[in-house]
Amino acid sequence: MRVPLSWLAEFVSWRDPVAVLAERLVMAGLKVEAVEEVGRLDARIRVGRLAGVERHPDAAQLHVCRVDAGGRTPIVIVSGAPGLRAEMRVAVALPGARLADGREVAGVSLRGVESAGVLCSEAECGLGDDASTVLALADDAPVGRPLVELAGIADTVLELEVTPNRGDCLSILGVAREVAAVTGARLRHPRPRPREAGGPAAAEVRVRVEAPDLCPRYGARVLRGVRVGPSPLGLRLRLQRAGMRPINAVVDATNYVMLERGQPLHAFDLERVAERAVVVRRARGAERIVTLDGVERVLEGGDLVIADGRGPVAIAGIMGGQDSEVTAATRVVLLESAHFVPATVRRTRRRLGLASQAAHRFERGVDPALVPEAANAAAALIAQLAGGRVAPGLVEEAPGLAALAPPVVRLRPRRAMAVLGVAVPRAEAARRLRRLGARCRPVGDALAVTPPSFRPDLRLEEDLIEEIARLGGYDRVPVTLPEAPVIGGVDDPARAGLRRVRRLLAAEGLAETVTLAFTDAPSNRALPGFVGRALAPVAVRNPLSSETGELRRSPLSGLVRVLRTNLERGATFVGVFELGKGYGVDAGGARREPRAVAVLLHGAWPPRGVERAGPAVDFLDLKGMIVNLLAGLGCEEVAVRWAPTAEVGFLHPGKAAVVRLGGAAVGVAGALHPEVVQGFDLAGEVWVAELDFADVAHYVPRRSIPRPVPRFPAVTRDIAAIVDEAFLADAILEEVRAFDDPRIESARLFDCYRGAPVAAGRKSLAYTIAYRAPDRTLTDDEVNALHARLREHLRRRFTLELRS
Amino acid sequence: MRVRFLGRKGSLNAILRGLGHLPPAERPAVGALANDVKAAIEAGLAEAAERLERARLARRLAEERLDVTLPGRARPRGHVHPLRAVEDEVVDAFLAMGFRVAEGPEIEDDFHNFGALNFPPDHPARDMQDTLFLADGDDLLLRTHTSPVQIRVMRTTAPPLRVVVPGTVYRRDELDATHSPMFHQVEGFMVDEQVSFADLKGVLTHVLRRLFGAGTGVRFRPSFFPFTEPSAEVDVACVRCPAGVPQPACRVCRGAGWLEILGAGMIHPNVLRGVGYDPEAVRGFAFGMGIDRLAQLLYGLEDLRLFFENDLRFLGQFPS
Repeated sequence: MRVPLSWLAEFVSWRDPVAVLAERLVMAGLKVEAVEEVGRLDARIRVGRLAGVERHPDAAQLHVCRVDAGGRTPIVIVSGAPGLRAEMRVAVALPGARLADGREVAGVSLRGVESAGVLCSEAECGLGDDASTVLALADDAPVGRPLVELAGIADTVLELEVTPNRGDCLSILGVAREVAAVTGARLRHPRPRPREAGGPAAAEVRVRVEAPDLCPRYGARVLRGVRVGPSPLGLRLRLQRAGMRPINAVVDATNYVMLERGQPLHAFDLERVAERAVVVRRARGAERIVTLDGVERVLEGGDLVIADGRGPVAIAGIMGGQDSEVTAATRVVLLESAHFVPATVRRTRRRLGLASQAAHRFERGVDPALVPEAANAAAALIAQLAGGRVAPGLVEEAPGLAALAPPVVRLRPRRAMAVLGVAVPRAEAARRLRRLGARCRPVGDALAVTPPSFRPDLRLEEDLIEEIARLGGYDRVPVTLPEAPVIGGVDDPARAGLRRVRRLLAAEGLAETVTLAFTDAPSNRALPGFVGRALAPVAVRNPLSSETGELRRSPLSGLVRVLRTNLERGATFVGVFELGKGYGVDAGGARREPRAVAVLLHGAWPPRGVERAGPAVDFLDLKGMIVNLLAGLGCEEVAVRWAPTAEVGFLHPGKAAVVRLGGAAVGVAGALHPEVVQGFDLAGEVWVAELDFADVAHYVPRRSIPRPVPRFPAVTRDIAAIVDEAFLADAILEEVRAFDDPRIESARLFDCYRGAPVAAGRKSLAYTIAYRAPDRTLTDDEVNALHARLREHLRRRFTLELRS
Repeated sequence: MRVRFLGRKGSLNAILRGLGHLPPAERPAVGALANDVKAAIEAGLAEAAERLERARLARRLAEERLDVTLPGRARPRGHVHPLRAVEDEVVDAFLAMGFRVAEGPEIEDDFHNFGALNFPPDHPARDMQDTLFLADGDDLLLRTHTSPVQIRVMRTTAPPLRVVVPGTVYRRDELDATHSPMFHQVEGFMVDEQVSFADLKGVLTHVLRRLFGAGTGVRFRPSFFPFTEPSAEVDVACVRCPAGVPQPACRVCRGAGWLEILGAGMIHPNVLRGVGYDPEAVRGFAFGMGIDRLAQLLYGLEDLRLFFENDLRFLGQFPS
């Protein structure tokens, strides 16, 4: 809501400077978004009188004007503007004046005639959009006076953010009422009435409300003999500054009264209303109407319309129809002032996607008492601006008015104190509520409060308690701490687990990302991740673009985009992780949003010490991180298994692993499938891992219990095996574990060699095995015997070629 | 030298061996003398050895040099995302005040996101939160705030309650410097027999001063949310403007001197009734703050997009 202060001042006076007034409104809940100075024109733009207008001797479309701009002698200005005539008062910019578009006026020669200024259009002055002709001023405008000094030119506009519960503040009068309530000033509330003449309005038009549940009150006035022209400058300026475009005097008058009082109005050309009868009814089937914006709208059964003998002439409370629009030719005006139920206006407005100032107000609740007041004020204003005679009487149907009467709400001061934490005596509560226009009377130790008709938001005791606190000032409510038992709070276990994961992965040198949960359908198909492997994608019904049309199944889709962004910006190493969700529908039709631990690694390590660049990242770097993560969470090392897989569609079939924990698959790791890489406009190897956080958390012990520290030394022996390239290094370790001798403490691969003398297609794997007993030092003989048995077992098991 | 004088066949040993030939009366004196001489020689020798050792060490120390200014062999350092760091900071502040953490789904239904929170159907309050709906299921949407978790917790738990809810929320906004279709909130609420608006002021003032610094100006002003009554917006004094003096040209507060930081209020009686509580018996307060905006203010960032672009040159400036 935009409030020109000159307009506000017609209804209330205040002493504070604007900044202080704005602050008081803010603290009363009416947020001032901006304070805007408008119409501060350059003082060298003056009121001029055209003393003479002659054709330019050498240019048919130019005029040479002698202009009295207050100086001793008239100045000469050459102008191409149409419609110039002698004695007109116009806006004249003298040399040096700065125009609204920033241009500075200078004397120029136009086809041999010296021009000492510019006759300004509305647009050049910054007072409107019209650039087609000069700004004509009133005939009594004082010649020579700077335009900025004329009443209504310079103004200050408050831009207010009005919350949806305060529809009453969507008018100048409503804001004035709030200023009065906050400052204690008196509200001036004039209710102009038109002078009436001629036959009664009821003879000109019949009104019938067939949907009293949606239109509790409908009023109409009739004006005969209007001449529709433009509105005067002052009124147009106010409309513009309040955010509306001037149209013509009749339409402007209805908008002016709406902005001033909050009641939306509509003017019909009554001679274009068939049978001079209006019916307020629900639309019948798919009726059509071309609205004022020129768009044909198809109505549905629930929409409320104003109809004439032929069909809908307006969509109630939203927009009028083009066929009955007021034009320059209109002579008889039907002025509608009605009350429509908020929900019906909102439903239709939303379905049609048709926003309007009227709908905005009706949706937020208009004071039903305004129907006659606004009709009278608008009729008087139209008569003043466009002439015409106002037919006697308001033609009114008010079938639902009684139901709109405000209820009586009980206010218990004790309850107010309990809610607010500060005592408000009953008398003080009553005083504050009366300032808002409520009626209060004591009942027992409570108050019976009747809210004013313009505050439909006050229906419960709590609503009144807020008003009391608001007018007293929230800053006067004390600051206390609740009494509560001394027990510390607890984090959610899963969330606490994620915090550990975050620290552990950051310690691995990875940067955490937060990416948007949206993706496009092809990407979502290509990259289901691990958590999304069994989920169907979820689509957004009203996305902002197709790139955000679905919810991602895996945070990897975000990480891949992060990789692309950073590579485009010159990064050579990208190591990132995200603790985000995947989203989808499971086989049973339930929506799931599993939390994933997603990691992406690409490029070459940053230099470590003195080197130009580190080595390229590879699978073992990624695996090391995941191993460290799981170990850091306390998972037993022996419980973690890595198995090759070719079954994960988005990973390279030969460079992918399933991570198993305690026998269950909890994630995957590997190189993105080359097709996926290409699909995201990337190249090279992109290493990714994704774990299902809930699955991992399931295996994380609450506390790890340490084993005793060994007291006797270990003895180590090595085994080397020459195997085929396809042989998995872990197979031997598995077998050593399975050998199940308590004296075997650990086994570790320490070398993997390819090349001479090992034959092509083969590799040499070397393991070291540690033997230890908890209660004694093992003898060489005992170890040698055990080691020989183990070697023999492995040799037979794998038909290995063992080297010593 | 050692061998000549002190060795087994050395002269001192010869003297000591010869002691037996001496008259018994002289033996102690000669023995003592021989031992003294032996000790003196040994001391002298040790000293010489130590001197030599010191000289050798001094030579070594004078020769051995390393360039301590060479770059260390550090592994790359990781980084926690600033949004997560701020979220943790806020949550920790409430944990310290005895709140427990609860979470809820991001895919919500109309009932939890709106209806149960006293947003009537066809009410313009719904326009305050432009909603993203899911394609299948009339009723499903991406939650527009973390408040539905209030409903989920209250419907399953009896008071007293002190709960804090961090979470991701969605609105139908293009990503620009000040808007994002996805952002983060921390919601909190407390329900008990004796909870007041004054307590709400106390809890939030405490937490905001913990975040922004002791003595930071905090103000409460009336506002509107369907699920609270009375409702308040809470502002903190501008983090950029010098104490108490709003700067007209300030790009953070745009001259207002105050920054809107969260919404709050007493839980609406319709909400309490809806979850089966008796509004005459228990009351509660609730609040919600935007983590992204909070992080912008705490880190002095003007463009929200930095958080979601994940440029490593940005993320790399945050600690791990």
